[in-house]
Amino acid sequence: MNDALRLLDGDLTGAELTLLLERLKHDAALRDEVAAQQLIRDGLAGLRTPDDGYSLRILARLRGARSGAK
Amino acid sequence: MSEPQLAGGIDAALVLRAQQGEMVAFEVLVVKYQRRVAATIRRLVHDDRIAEELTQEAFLSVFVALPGFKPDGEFAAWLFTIARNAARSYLRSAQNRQDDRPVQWLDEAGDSDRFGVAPSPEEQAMAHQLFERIDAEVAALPELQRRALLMREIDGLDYKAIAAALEQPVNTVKSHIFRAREAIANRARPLLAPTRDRRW
Repeated sequence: MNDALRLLDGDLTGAELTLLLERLKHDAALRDEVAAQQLIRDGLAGLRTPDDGYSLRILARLRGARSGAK
Repeated sequence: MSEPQLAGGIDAALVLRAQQGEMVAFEVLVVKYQRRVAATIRRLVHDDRIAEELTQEAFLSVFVALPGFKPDGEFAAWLFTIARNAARSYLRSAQNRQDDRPVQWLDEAGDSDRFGVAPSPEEQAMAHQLFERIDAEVAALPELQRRALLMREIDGLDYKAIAAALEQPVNTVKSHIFRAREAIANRARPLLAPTRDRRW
């Protein structure tokens, strides 16, 4: 949890960012914590949309474009 | 912490990592900005489905153009410019069409995978409940925590400006905001569990 908050705030060093990005590749709970914390931030800022897979569809589109380009 | 914090901020650092081939760094940027980008586009096109398509297009354009982006530039400003341009381009093409049929990509098979479907009443109710819980938790925070958090999230102030406004040391402000976020997340977590598979 602390790591998710520090990532979104940029409150970490370059070395810590490297480690965190590596963890994010494999740690589904950390990815969810980052996404949940961002959802809360967006909610506080007035962006109150249901959690309906929007970002997953963007990422799927990006991955599709990347694999198509290879 | 003895090492210096990220020079140029977290966005610049994530852009740089993405330029070096770290896809996960770009994914963080998508998670961070997708709702704001979608809201910006939705305000221009007034259609949820088209807004979602254009949001995807905007992130795709940014990703493709990323190698040419200077990491010392302002990533968010660049992203929102591309998003607004995508919306304006769509509106121009809609104006130029002879009729008001939807554009081709909205007729393609498999749209529900690509764009999802409108949130059900249950999903909307769950979201409503979640944001009510968040509001209640914000209201229950100690005053300094609440003021610091709202200055950060609503007013968009940086820590230094909040510290000046509250006449508190920067580290104290950081600590207040951190604790406020943890408290809110702890209360919101049970309501976030049912939608776990729809997040990153």
